[in-house]
Amino acid sequence: MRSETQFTYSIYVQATPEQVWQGLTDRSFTRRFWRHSTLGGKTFPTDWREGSTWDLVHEDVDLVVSDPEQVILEADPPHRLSYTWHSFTPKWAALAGLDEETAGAWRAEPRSTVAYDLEERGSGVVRLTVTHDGFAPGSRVLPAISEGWPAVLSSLKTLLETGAPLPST
Amino acid sequence: MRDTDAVFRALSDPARRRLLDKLNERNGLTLTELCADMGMTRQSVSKHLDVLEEADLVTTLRRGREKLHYLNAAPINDIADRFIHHYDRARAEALADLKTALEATPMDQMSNETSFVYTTYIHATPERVWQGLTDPTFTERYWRHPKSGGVSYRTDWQKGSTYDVAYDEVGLVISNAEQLVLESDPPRRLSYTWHTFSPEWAAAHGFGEATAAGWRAEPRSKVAFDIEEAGEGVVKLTVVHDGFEPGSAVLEGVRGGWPAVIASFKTLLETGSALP
Repeated sequence: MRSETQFTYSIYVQATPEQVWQGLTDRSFTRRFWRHSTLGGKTFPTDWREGSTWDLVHEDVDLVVSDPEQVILEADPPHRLSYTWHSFTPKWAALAGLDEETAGAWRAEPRSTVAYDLEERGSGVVRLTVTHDGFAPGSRVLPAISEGWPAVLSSLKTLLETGAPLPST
Repeated sequence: MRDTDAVFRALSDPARRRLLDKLNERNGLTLTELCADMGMTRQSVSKHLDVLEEADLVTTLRRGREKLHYLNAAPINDIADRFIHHYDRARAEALADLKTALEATPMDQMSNETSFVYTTYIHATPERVWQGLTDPTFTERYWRHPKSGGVSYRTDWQKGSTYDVAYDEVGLVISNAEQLVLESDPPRRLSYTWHTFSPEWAAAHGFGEATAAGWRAEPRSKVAFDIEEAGEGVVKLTVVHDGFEPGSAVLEGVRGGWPAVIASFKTLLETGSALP
């Protein structure tokens, strides 16, 4: 169900729930399919336990985004994972090519939350549903993440099914 | 703080408890559905529902001209918190989640939605994506229904032409003068009106005639596919299915169907086999 304060997207992947969970959390997977056009691949150093913090790392450009509010909210492998979204620090904004006015507006918004639900659909297919919510009406972050998720999740599916991610777009 | 007295008062009446049982069995019922075998007038049932709504045990949601009733377990949950330790908490929490979900979605937006949009990225050329959307040797492999099997479209794909939908595995062909190709600009954009929900189609797909008649009464929708190059052999495919009225039941149906169809299409083009 779409509404103006959240983004929802489902994708069907030929994989086990454990493989999809690994794809979402393991450095060797995320750095390959979860790529930013200027920052390169992402990794998420954390122990993936509820209440733990997580860092956003872009190894290619030596960027680490840490914040005590980047928190794992739910971790029930391989069924459900949820965490608060990362901070839009000045260094992140500069390297991501975001002007300071835009980054300031993003930073002023409430911190959003992403949740992943993994559901076995039989015949070795998993439905992965991403729900990114907690946005205020009129959010400027929401249109940006709505543009980004289909590409990221399409590449995750391709990586898990073919062994190679989508060529960077 | 909830009014616990109002909750207990609401629960003290057997007719009201039966209404809650009905909603517990199947949520989202209309007044007419709730009246079935209650053995009382519509007006009495309506009054009981008012009491339940007042006590916050029932939440309502407008959908088109209908009002749907949902069980809200939160007040019972609150009482359980205070008095009961061994209770089926998982179920109560699931129902409390439902209420949160209902509250989180502004109701006017939910019923005002008239389109479905889905974007995916595929490692393929635009020509191959076009072929995959139009050529029966592709569609019947990835565009499948568990009951009716693979789908193929029979048409010359010229703007203004009609098309037939064929389900060869069950020997069914749906033809209609209003099944039209609206736009055809290979390999960039394709658009056509949606097919008719004929009685034969409904039977082959396991839908009751009442459901199909409701779908048939809605305005005919249309789908458009946009195929854009997104660099290095990757195509961005956007499906826009629109022309629905607020509260459309067909929209709910296609919303569930498209992600599975498109996922299987992507897998077929990238690996040579559709999703099982």
